[in-house]
Amino acid sequence: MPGTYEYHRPRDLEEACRLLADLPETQVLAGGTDLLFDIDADVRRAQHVISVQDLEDLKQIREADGSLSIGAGCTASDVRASSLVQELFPELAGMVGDFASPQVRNRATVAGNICSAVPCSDFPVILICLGASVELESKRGSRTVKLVDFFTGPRETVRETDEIMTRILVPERKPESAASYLKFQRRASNSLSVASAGAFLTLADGVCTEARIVLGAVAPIPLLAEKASASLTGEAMNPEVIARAAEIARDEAMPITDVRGSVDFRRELVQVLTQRALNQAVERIEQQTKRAPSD
Amino acid sequence: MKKKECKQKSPPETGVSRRDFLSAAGAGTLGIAAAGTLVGSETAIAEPAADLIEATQLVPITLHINEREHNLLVEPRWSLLFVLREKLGMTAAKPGCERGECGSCTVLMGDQTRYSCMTLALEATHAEITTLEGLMDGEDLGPVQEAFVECDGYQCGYCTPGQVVAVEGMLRANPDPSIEEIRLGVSGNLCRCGAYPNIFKAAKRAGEIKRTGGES
Repeated sequence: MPGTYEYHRPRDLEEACRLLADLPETQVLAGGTDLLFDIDADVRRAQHVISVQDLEDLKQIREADGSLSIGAGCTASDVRASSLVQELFPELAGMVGDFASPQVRNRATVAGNICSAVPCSDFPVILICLGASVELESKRGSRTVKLVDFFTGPRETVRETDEIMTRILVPERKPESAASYLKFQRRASNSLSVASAGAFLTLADGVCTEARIVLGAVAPIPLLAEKASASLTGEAMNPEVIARAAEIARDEAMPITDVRGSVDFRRELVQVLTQRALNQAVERIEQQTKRAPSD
Repeated sequence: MKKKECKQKSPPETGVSRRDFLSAAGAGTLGIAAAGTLVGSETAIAEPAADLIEATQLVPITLHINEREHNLLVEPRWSLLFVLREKLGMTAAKPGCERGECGSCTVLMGDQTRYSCMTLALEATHAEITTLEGLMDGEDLGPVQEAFVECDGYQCGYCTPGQVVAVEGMLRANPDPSIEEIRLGVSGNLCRCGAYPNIFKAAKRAGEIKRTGGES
């Protein structure tokens, strides 16, 4: 019967890992905005729910070894309000307002948005753009997985059932780099992506040395558009180069038709959003590098 | 509604079997009501040292709601919404979708708006909870409620308690929002009657009343 799970509230990570290793059919409860309803709807099964409520270490946002470290217990609102995130990754703090509703942002965690692995999720797209990794902890030890390698299918990830996500690591970037995330939704806010696109660029004298284009809601997983990204490397950023990359991204997308949009509409959106996201990333880099010398 | 209510069982005979939970849940101020549940057998539970609560076991918790303490027994899966309405008789927060989409169950935890349908009651013990009842000014309406009346910010009224609490939460973070900021700020609350234009006006007016005491 849905909802009849046993509830555990470990006091430290070690205890949490032991429970995950020893108990059958466990689910980690952070914000619960996906999990509690998935359990009720029998989408996910749980005999044992392990709450992270008392794991204070997971609620930290700090700098660590050249990365921004976001604890897995941090809510979307925590990330938006963090002065550290605003300073280091304004594009990340800025996109939080596009995610769900205020009430959900106050409860849902970024790590939960990643672990749920729903193809239309917002955070995975921008975080893959930014080259983020996630740290997974278990009784067997700790491992770091690049977020781009984390997803294996809709609601499926490389996370083993005995592992708990502890933090998200976003490598700090230079002023010559910036990311942008744009989503198309059916109303102005509190809506799922019909399609989304994220772009990350590093420019040296206007020439692209690093590019990542990531697409959301148009594939079984948040999709790194490898060909589109590669088409930018070594190129001077101009409207033709950007338009071509957007066209390639359109072809790389693998959307399905559902209640939110058709295959053709989604492909069209991918092209438009990719183009706009790239333009926005270029603009941001121009602004950042203009400001930098005066520091 | 009432999937959750139907699932509810009568209180089990055995109580909490791990005293440890009390300190961890911060429920040090347990009343007599809970004392009887502390006699459960320590041996009944397998070894995990963590606080374990069985599915249908009642746990003593303390909730801080509208500046009052409430000691009560809850099952781990009970939502804050269910506890507010069915156990404490505070029926302002409404069950709508009961899956975190419509906002009729909105309450404040601290200054943050939260969906009480997707918050477990036993995970709400650390925060000061404010429901619509707590926004009253004694027997008088509070400023946001007053603004809703003044601007006719409702039709059937079912979503109104949630809308009022959402506006209160928004105004605490942003005392003078633009209409655009209001639209985004209360985007987590749906109104099936479509009274949005007046809800947004009421939110604007509520900000004025709060800032000026209603003079403007």
